[in-house]
Amino acid sequence: MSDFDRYLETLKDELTRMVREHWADWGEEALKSGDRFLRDVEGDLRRWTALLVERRLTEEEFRFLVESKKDLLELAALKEAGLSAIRLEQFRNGVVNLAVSTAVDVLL
Amino acid sequence: MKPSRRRRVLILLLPLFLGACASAIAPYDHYAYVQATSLKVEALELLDLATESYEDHRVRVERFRSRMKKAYEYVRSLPRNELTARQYEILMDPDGHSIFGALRRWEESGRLSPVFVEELRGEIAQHFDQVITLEAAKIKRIP
Repeated sequence: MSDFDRYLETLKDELTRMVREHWADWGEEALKSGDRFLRDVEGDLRRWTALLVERRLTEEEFRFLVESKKDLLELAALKEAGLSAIRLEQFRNGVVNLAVSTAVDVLL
Repeated sequence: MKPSRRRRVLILLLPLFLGACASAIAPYDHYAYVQATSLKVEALELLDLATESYEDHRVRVERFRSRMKKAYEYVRSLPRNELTARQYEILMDPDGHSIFGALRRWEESGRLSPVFVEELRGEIAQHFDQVITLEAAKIKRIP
């Protein structure tokens, strides 16, 4: 097992522990969300960790980059919430159009 | 049912349907979209300069910050646009880890390392993409 794989394993264990301690109510969903996040960022984390080990990134720079992923996660969650609202609105508009056109066809 | 009564029922139902049409999210705003895309380009151009002395680019950074604030005030003023406004707040948090946080770091450090800037550039681009994608997906108003 490479150093990075050990790091990733430790990170996953820490994530599980953190979810159990602080987000027990969210349980599986929080774990899945954390796992998905780690999967999405694994490539970047791998590269940044290598740069950190080679001392081409300082610890502070490494931390900033990882934290920027957290900001990305929040920005993406807001985008997803917006996209859900848009899909709901499109569905509602479809229902309204159908109800009105059917009423006109059948009743008038 | 007589036709006249049907019409009355329809007239009574229409406001309900129209009420159901009340949107949960702001419609597409072309000005907001153009602002977000051009601010992304500006942000990345600034980051390309971040390996140089901050003092040499202070004025440009200040102008960019000002444009971001104006864009934020604009999106915040649109009804039902809280999600986009919150996205801007993340981008603009000087204590955070998006573009304003990066600019603050540049200001405090004097200059940033090329390796860090190269890695950061991709992150900041993705941050702006979340704002742009949401705006582009919003429903266009029928003129």
